[in-house]
Amino acid sequence: MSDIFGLSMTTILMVVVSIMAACLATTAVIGLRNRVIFKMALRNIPRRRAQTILIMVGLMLSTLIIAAALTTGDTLDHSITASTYDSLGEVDETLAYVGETDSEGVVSVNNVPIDAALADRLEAELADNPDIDGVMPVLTVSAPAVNDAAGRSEPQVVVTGLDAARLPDFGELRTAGGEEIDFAGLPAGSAVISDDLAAALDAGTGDRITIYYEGQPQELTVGAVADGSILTGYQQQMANAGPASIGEVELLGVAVPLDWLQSLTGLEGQARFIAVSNAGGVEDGAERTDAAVEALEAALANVEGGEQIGINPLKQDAVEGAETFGATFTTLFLVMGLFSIAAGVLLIFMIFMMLAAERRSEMGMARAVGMTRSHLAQGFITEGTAYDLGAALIGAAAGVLVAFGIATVLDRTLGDTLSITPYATWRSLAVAYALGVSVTFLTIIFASVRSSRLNIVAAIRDLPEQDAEERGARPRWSWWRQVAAGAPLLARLPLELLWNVVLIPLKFLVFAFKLQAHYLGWGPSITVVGLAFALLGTAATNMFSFSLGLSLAVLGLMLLLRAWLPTRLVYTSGAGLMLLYWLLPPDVTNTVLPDVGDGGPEMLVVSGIFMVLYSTLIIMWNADLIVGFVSLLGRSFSSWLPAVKMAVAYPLSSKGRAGMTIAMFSIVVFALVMVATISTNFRELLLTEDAAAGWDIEVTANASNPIDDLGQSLAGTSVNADAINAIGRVDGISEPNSLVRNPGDDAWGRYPINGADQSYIDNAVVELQTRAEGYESDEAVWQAISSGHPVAVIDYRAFESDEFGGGDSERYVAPDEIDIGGDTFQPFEIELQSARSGRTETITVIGVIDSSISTLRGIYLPQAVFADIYGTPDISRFYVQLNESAGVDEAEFAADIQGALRTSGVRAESIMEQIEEQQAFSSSFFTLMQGFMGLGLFVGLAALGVVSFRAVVERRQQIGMLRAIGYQRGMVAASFMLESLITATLGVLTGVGMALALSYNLIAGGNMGDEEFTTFVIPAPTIALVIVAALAAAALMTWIPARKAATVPVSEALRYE
Amino acid sequence: MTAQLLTQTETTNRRAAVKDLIISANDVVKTYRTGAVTVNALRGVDLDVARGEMIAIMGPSGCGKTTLLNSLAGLDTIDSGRVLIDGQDLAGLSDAERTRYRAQRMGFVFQFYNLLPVLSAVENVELPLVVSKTLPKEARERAHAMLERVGLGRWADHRPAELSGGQRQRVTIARALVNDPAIVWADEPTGDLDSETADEIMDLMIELNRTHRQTFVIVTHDRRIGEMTDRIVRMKDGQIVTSDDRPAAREASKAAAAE
Repeated sequence: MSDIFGLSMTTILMVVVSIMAACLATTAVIGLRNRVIFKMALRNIPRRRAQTILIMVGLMLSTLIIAAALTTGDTLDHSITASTYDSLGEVDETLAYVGETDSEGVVSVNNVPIDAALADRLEAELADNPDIDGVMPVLTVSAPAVNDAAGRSEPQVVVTGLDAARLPDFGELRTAGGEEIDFAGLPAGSAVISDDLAAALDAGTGDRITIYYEGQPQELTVGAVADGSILTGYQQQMANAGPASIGEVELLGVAVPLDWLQSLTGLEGQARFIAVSNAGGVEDGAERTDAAVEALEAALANVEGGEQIGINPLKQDAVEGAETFGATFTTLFLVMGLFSIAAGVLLIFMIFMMLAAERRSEMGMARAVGMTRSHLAQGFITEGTAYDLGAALIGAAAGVLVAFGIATVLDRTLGDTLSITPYATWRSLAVAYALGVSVTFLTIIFASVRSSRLNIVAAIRDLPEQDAEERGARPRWSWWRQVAAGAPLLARLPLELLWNVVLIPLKFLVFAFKLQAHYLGWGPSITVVGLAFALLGTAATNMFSFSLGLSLAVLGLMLLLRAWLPTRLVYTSGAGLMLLYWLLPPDVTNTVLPDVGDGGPEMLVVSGIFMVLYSTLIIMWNADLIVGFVSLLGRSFSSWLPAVKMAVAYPLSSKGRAGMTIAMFSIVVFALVMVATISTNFRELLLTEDAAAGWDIEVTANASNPIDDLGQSLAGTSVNADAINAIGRVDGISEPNSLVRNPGDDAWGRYPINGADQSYIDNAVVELQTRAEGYESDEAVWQAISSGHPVAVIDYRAFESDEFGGGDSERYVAPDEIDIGGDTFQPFEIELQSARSGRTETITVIGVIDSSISTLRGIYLPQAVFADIYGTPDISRFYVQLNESAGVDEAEFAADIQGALRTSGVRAESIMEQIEEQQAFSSSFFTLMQGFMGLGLFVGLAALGVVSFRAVVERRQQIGMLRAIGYQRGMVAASFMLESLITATLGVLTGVGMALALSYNLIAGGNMGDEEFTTFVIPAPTIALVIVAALAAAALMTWIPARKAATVPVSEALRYE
Repeated sequence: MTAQLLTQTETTNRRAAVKDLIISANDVVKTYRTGAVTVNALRGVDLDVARGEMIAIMGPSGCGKTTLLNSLAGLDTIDSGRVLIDGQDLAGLSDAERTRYRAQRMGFVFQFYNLLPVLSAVENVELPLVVSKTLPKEARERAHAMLERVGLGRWADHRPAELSGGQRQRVTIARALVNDPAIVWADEPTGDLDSETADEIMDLMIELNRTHRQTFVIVTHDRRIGEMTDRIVRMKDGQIVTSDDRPAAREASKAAAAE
């Protein structure tokens, strides 16, 4: 994977390594300047081994997630690239007819034959070219193949005619074991079949198979079985429309001598394309593509017949596509992993606050004997760096293991479509390591500075810190003291102004910040930054910037106002308002706030983080009400009451710890439930019976054996015609040739184009999401299509831009200004062009197909208009509607049709079966995604572990007292367990609640893309699983410290200080 | 050896004289082992305490005062010997039974109060009642009454951090007495207090001892505190070296408390 987020991985590596180097240099400077602090810090590490392990686990999680995401990208990139190299072999480019078109880019119209002798002319022209070492004409046709002896057939097989004399330039055909096949030496009437076809037909060397071309059988003897590649007819292509377009269609192949196939097809002296091999092997040959394309362009300009030939650098495109696909996955995993990384950052912060709490009296002593706050912070930074370097190393290694696990699951999920082989690169690991070290280091710096602030006396005597209360009350009762304390800063103001404003404005800004922070805390600065973002977002109509700014501004205001107003009131009302902002639909919030447009997937992360932050604030400042309820419950079970009393008391008093732990659980569960809810609702919307558009079976005709009328073809066969209610026909053209653009645009995009016949229009059950103004009903729209006017309906996907940047950049996208959210829209025109004939037509779009009819993709024209523009279709699909009363099984009926027309090579499939396969695939993928995101739960669990272990140490004396006054061991253990479970439950339920509320707002409120959801489905089993798993794991995590607490020796604990 | 023999003689005499014993310890041995170091914390201690008696255990640091208190109260196990509390051998009880016994029959006062910082004064006081499965309403009422009794009625809803040292120790005493225990064990109850507050706390304990006839065993190194009790038991190197009855002091204290 060479790029991510549009940046080169090498650039990213250099940047993150530089940041890491700066971090390490900071620690090195500390070590050089103050060896005592350096040694003290490092000697702290082995003091508590169990705690050190827990810290390492906590610190490694961010790196683990980053490494797992990057390695997953590498794995996919590598696997797809390997598959590309495998299937293309030494073929680097193909040359094919592009027609007389002025369209931009390369268009391949493979159906138009070209002069095979062009290969000879090019060979002569390129004889001295160092970048190209092979040119070969190739003829292909699609035909059904049958092995009568085994009773097996394949409806669509690519028969490839190869020039045996030129095969050595392409590395010859080879068996799966790599042995060379003597293609030239095969006896007449022999063929080489791909290994996949051999498996499908149960045929081996020496067996006889039959292919049917235009209905005529042609017997061939299998001369050898080759590894599937483009030369043996094996290829993968995306079908352009219909349910089959959901997945990749694998075509199986037969390689035959070129002249034999030319003779069979009547295309003497012609080829479908010319394969070009670059100098070098399979992989390094692709690196010469640019030079080869340049040479080919020059050569084509010089040879006769070269002017209508286009160059398709298919290997380079495929390799780039693999990288894009890998990057898309990495981006997706990283974005989803951001929730866990955010929780991880919180965990790191909490770990260091805990360490500081544990060493408070030591730190107080250190301060008393002359160490500065800076020294304490430096000590923590040094210690943290040591943990960080080790933890990131373990995290990167564990991330690779997780990615390999993901690869294994993906491999099973994708089945035969793509073989996934685990693969990691040092570059990605280095990026993950450096990024993990840097993120952790920066968090450690923040935590270290925060931890170093302590009152010396209070720290030595282990009394509660007073500064938080003082800060809150500062303006009310000790303003004079603060003014006095700030006097030195005020006195420096003129000097600072004079010296720094002129020379170093930034330094002055820092000073000004310090000054205001002294008097007013962080609130005003955060408010100003937030307002700046919000204004920027308003000006640029950018929802991300506005929402981030507004959330920060309100946070800053709350921090400021709590100095004057009751903290509970400030946090509850401020956080409540912000939750309303995030949860209410935009059309409601827009009545009081500026309309800042729609957000992208980044909004999921921002909304998640802020909703969790604000809900946690509300919980923590109103926890007494919540735990009061738990206490009431406890009263009903008197034996539990002592434990409940303790369990609810501690979280209430440690708002910071409990709040951070709740937030960690909450954010991860929020992400998990959001993904589960959104994916479930999409599945419910897109992959239901409605998706089939009222049809039961899709029959795809073979181009070599065209079928005009399926009903007629089936007449007289064993297929029960009485079971058929209707047959509709949709013609299409291959996607590379489907050129579409908006009037006024220069470039053409590609989008599936279909021509539907009257029967299809009459019998399909296709609801429209919205229709053009002037049409009173969906029927009126279909009526207009039936009448053969130049009008069309289009599916909703045409209105979606690609959010993650991993899709086809040449895909057609409908005009931005068309709003399909309402009942009607302004009809708009599109231009269609036939790449073959060059003919351009303007069509008016009058309807948008409902998103629930997900098997319909593309533009649907009246068949007459389609035929007018494109002439002969590249592909014809027939749709069969069965009589419900016939009670036949769709899959069996499809098999009957395919069997009856096997010599025509039709492929018949049950549409519902395809939809169910897609459901299974989608379900597996999202389960995998949730599994990855579930890693974040370990952050919450580690936090609970840290808090619980720390609590046992901190409360040792209190535990002793409780045991002395009569708390049984079980009660002590139960109070620890309950405390953790209450914290985890609050976090989990908050996450679930926020996620359901936001997803309901997005889905039911119509704010989720262009799909029109009619219902909101709650994935109850998944949510239940998340809740149970999180709480069970939380209980397990607390079990050891709880047991430890219960077995504390009483007399020893009472002496403990 | 002489001291030990003296002590044993005194104890035997006392045992013969006092019939209503609530604490009876005989040849109690407790040894701590930390790595290669062995500390003989108690070396064959005999001690009898009569019901309603208030005794002080005194001695230099490390002489075994607290260990003796913990061993007698069942907070710690002993290596050999026997301890009977109201005729009950605590060593023969399981941990759960011993814990239940403590909850119902004993109260504890510690030097550093050992209050739960996350609970208010009244919640701290009601803890032993909660453990004893007293109904929540009744527990709260009794805790409030006990706080009134120690003069902290107005401070019931304050947390320990909001109270002075003396107030905290009063809360601890209220907690120790709220379940009406037979014995109150106090380990350096005034050790963290100034002398004026220490006197107040001792006066309070003496008054409660007088009115409720509860037995108080107080570990202290403060001679002034010891002199306020009925008897001073002195320890040295894990053994009881003297046991001085102080009936006059007790009467004086009672009189002072009555005033």
